[in-house]
Amino acid sequence: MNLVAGLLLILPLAMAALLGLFGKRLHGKTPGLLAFGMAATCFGLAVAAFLHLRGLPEEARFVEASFWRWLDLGSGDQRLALDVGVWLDPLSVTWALFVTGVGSLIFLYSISYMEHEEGAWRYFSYLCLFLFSMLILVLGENLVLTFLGWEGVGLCSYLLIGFDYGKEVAARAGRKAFVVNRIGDVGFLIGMFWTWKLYGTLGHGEMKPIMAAVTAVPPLLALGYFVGACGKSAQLPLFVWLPDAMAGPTPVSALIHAATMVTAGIYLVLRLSPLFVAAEWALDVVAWTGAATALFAGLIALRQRDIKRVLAYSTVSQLGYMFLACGLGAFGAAAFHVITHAFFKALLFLGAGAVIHALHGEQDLWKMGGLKHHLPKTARAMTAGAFALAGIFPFAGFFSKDEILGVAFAQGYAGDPSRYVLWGMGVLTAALTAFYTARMMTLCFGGTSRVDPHLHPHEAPAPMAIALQVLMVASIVGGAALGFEALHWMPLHHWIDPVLAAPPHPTHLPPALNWGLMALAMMIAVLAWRIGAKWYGGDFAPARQAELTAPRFAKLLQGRFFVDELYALLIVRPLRFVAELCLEFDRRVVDGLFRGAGSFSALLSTTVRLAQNGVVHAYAFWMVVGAVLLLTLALA
Amino acid sequence: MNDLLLAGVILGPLAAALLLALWPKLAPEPARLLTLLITVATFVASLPLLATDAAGGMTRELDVPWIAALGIRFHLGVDGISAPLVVLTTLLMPLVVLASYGHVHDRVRQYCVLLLAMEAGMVGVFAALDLVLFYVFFEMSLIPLYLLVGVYGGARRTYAALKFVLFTVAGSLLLLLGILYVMHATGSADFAALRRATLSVREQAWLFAAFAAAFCVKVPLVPFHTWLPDAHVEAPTGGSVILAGVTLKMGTYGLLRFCLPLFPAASIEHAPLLLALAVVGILYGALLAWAQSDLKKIIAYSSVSHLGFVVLGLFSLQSSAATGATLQMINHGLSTGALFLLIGMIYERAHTRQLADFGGLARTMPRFAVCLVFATLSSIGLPGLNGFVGEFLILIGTWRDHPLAASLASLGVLLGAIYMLGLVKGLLFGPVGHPKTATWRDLTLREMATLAPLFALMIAIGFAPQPLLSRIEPAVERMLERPRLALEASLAPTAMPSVDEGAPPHDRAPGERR
Repeated sequence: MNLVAGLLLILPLAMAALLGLFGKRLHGKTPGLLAFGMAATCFGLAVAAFLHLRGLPEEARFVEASFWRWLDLGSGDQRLALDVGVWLDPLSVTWALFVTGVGSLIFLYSISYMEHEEGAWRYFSYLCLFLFSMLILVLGENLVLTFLGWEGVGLCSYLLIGFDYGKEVAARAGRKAFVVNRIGDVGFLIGMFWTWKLYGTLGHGEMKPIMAAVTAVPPLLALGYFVGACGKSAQLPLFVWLPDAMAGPTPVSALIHAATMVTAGIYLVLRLSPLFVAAEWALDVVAWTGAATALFAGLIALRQRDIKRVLAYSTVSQLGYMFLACGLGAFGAAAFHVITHAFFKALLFLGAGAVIHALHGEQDLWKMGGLKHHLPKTARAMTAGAFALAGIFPFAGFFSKDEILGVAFAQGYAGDPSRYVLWGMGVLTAALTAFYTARMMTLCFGGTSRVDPHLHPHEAPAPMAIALQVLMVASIVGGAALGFEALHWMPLHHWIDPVLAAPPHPTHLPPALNWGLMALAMMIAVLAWRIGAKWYGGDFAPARQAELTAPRFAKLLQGRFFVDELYALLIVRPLRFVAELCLEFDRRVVDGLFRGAGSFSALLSTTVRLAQNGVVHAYAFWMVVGAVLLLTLALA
Repeated sequence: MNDLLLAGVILGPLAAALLLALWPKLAPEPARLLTLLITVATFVASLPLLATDAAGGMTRELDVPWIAALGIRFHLGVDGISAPLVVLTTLLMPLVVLASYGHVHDRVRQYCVLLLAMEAGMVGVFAALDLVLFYVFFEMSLIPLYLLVGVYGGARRTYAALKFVLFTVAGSLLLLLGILYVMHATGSADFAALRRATLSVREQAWLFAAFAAAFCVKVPLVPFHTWLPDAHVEAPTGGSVILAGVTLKMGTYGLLRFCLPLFPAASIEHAPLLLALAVVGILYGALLAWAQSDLKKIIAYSSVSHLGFVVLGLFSLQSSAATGATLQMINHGLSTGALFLLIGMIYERAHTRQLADFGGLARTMPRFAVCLVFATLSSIGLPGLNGFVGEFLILIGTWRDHPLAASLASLGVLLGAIYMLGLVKGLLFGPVGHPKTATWRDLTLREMATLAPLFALMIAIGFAPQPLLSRIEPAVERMLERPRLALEASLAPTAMPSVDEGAPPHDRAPGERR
């Protein structure tokens, strides 16, 4: 297993280095094929790791492999020892599976997508580096390695968003992503500092028994990690970087900004779930942040014209669901939704990429329409993804989303009325989701064509099509295959729950109520979908007119609640002002003081001008005199 | 007993400097080549110094009487703190000579003389175990740097050089007075003897102030930092690399080597002040860096910020943090050295350093772009590279006892990303900025070779810092021993000898021997 784990990390890193150093000399599809081969091999390795762990008894399902000692300082309770190694358990292997699995498909898709782009080798080199970072994030033996991957994926995201570095927008978005993520990283860092002080270790293996025994954790410690998670997983108030990150190539949006990297925050919370459970009100903060983000982003998605932005806000919104699940203590349900979301959101992004590809870069939904006639396969695949996103039975998203909502209701039913509010927010978001997904699909594929008549859209080439087909199947059956709570069919939970904290609150409903709620959620989703499809499906002119002459609240949605503008006004500009102020202060006051002292001493020194005639020769002369003096003393 | 290797590393470059100085007929290029060979040879010769004592003691000692009348000895030696700094110095010198091919075309021989003299001085500073000898080297490294800025610098070089000298001389005068007092009070200038001597609390307070003032100007710690940006902006590339890479470390090295073990009571008393100044320096320096438009000033102020981390780690008095701080001295030398080299390279092409003049270099100079991004990532502490190890150790160690200071300092990590990525974006991305951008050629093989050793070390330290840390830690532990004891004493009020307060200067409390 050590070899498998080691290869999982070395292969992507080596391929990144190989393509980075020599990729320029490779032509056509070669860099892509090499990278895809590597990713597929990694998926195979992840499957091998999975099978190995499955073969072990439940309580022994972990492998700790250490490659070398990274650092080892101090002694006693101040000892800080960290290895470079991996920690395989059901949680990390689950992540490794879908990261390499969905990742391979996106690598495959990219071969065609990037074929004619300048610098495809650079793109694949970054992609390999991303895979390495993501794998070390989930497989790393301790929190510092997790942090290494954490910042590493941030770096790759930065590089890939700014891939088209001639574009000012892309360069700006890349930097924004990195900086906003670093805000979260400060929280992560402080969490680690505190953890080490309290528990004397940062190793996942060593923390396992400690976390199992811990009863009270400072809520702020857990929230430090949660701030980190909010940065990486784009939650309120740190979500602003994700929509801008869509400036990167579309497969990157699919891989990094939808399926894998943005779920790192969930991974962190799940990994440390016992700390969160023991940290009093920390979980409530997680739940409310998640629910608020889900609703907020769902509202914004209603009125976006850029197809990738609709999907970006929907990603933020779905990530909100996952945090809602974490906050409710339903950690397994959060993992479930992470996986189904990876399937259907990757599919939707790749589908959107195929559409954009066919329209030579057009991303405006108002300039699409009627594309189902030109791109029937893409339309079919994306419809499956859209149904999954909207939570329509029996598509994947239905099962995971319904489980989360069920838990919220169950806790309300068990006597905590505030949980009904969370449930209500979740259901409302579900309705919004179905509506904006229907709007997007209808504007893109339905109705009459508004496409530029010079364009002749055509289906994507084979590698892209294959990736779409596989993901379509996963988005259809992926949910039911992994778990259906109402029928007590929960293979994913049986696999992953033992390494997660036990839910602190009740999670089960009486069956009748459960089925009833399920039917209700289903009805709401279908209804919202029908409305969305009807509004945008017929003649386009009135719908567009309605959006253009929007009332005030809709204007707010179109402007994305002006959060970016608010941040600029409240944080960026004041901070910049402070920096300028510091500069003036430094010039006038700090330096001025010394210059004042300097001129004062200069005044004095006019009397001893002879000694300071400013000629270098004189200095040298006195140096020699001094040296001679010293030597004489030495000889004396 | 007496080991000549260390003396060779100091006297070799010094002799070479003399030779070049007294050989006016030597043509510029042979002089430069000779200097390159000598600095490379010095680097190779210095490598065995890294085989330090695992218990943290001094190795490679040379101890001979020097000025017998005053009890001053020519005492050299290195431990896990100084050996890496010596090697950093000897590593940077050949790179500086290599870089000089691009920008020093006049008075080449004299430039080489200055570099070699400076190398001897800087290695001497890190190796001296006698206070007077330390002082001599301290000054010896100052004057060549002054000339380097004053003669080879930019338009306002005289002003910058004078400012630099005035600041440092003011500091080193205090240091000299302090040293004279220590010799007077203890009868010795030898570091080993002084570590066993105990000065009264009041004496310590004054001496600490004198020593720390000299060192804090060098670091530079806010508010003594205003000489640094001027010196950097006017200095030639080589001067900037040495200034940031090595000279600043003399300050932090002095704090660790002398202030902490010789004046333990004063150190713990003033630790809160220094911690506060360090945090202010980290944030203030970062904000200033952000507000700058001159490339060199951005890096200069980033140094203020980064050296703040070092001071923070040292005065947290926590072993991991102080070890990390010492590592960070090396890291900063590598990353900032690389950044100044890169800025020098672009300046040689563009003859401007204004950020606004640039843009879009990623397309026209891809090799430069990769190198700049790499050096930046090291500088902002990306995990996997060297900078992270130092910062992480400093912060996690400091957090134990000073959570507020460490939390505020963590914001420096965020600000670092803001201004450094701003620099990267301004230079590399977006539309092409300078009309002549297309005519600038990408980095040459020589330039790549100049940077390569630094990058290799950034990766090596990032992936496997332990070989270096295991050398640093025991030596740092020894420096922290006495301050820790003093701290314990001050925490137990009864153990504090109140006699000390009123005692006359010569009446020393009993020295603690290990």
